[in-house]
Amino acid sequence: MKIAIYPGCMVLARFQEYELASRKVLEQLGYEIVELGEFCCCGASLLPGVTDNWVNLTAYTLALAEKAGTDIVTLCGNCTNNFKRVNSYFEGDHKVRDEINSTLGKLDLVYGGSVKVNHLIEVLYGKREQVAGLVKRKIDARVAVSHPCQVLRPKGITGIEDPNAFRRILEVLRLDIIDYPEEHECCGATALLFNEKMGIRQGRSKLESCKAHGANLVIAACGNCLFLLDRLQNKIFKENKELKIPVTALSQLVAFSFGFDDKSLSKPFTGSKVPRSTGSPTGFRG
Amino acid sequence: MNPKKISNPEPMNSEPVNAYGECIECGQCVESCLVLRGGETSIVSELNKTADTGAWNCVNCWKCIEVCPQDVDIYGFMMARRRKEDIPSTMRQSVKNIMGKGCSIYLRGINEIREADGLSPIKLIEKHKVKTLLGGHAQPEV
Repeated sequence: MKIAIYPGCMVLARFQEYELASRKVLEQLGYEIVELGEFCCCGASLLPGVTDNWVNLTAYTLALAEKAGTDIVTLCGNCTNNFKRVNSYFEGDHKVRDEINSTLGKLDLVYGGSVKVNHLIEVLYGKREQVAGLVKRKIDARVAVSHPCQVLRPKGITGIEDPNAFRRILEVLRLDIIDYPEEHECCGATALLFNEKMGIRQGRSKLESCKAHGANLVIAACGNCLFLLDRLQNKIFKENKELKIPVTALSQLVAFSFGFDDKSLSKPFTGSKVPRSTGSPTGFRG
Repeated sequence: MNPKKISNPEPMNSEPVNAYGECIECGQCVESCLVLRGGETSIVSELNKTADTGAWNCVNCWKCIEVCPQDVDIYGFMMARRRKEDIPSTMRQSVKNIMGKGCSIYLRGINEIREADGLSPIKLIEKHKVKTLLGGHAQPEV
């Protein structure tokens, strides 16, 4: 089955290990990874407040995928939500559909609305049994899940029925998963754009709660969550460095469970100062 | 030039914005809003008429939409309000990057990094295509 990985700007620029691990995991699950040829922002940083034409950026990537005969897997919440929202304009007789295609036509493209977009969580959730069969090692860690808001909500756009889909994947990896009250709260990454202090405060509150409830590893599945919770930990815990906690991406953990040891998969925890060449993507004993 | 001016004069997003008509002021969106709890105003403040700014102060968690018993179109309401307000200065660089390069984060040497990691090189969308897709000005002064 063909699939194209859409990393999104944040993962493309800062989390190559998340993209690479996702690629390896999807290949293990039998997918043929297709390249779309060009990268274009999903439009998340524009939206109607900047220009109503943001939908054309989103549709451009969808049109490339349709032309290549592939569906898309996303790695970020924001991109997932945007793609699904634009796809919803192609259901029924929405006038935006014609306006988008009028613009795409200037670039000799057309979009018919056939590309299915799923976040990595949805793909792995749908293949839990196969994932379970590929697990080669149990990871000795107590993990906290940080659900990516925009993959889950609003349900009318995302179509996700099980709000704990992310958790269900980690369960088949036979991980020790902790409960904490803020599990479904936003990490605060988007707040960095309008109030950095608020974003940092929210990130800190979430990480502190993970640790207080016994976690020694946090798992995220969105470039923005990873940026705040991992890359900004030096800032979050500037005066309490002992409070730092490793954060890694879902696919890195799955790849490690599947037995991959590739050092390029182990570049997490910049904030936690764990060098990328240390081997284990989790820093924990396999 | 304000990037807002690149907008198509005919808004493409035609989602209905009928927030006030449906809201029963139950306050569940207020309770769910992370931004309000953080001490800022948010779109929920505008919806509840307790503040007249806050449309850009959103973490996009969409808890307000999930808890609303009336299915108020909070997304549509927020976007309609944003169209009328200036973009926060902190967001202008990413807007500029998208308009110039089709990517919100500047990617110097990205293909060297990708090659070192065993990933295939990436080709960013050409600037003239971004210009076409956004309906005119590819790189405004922001």
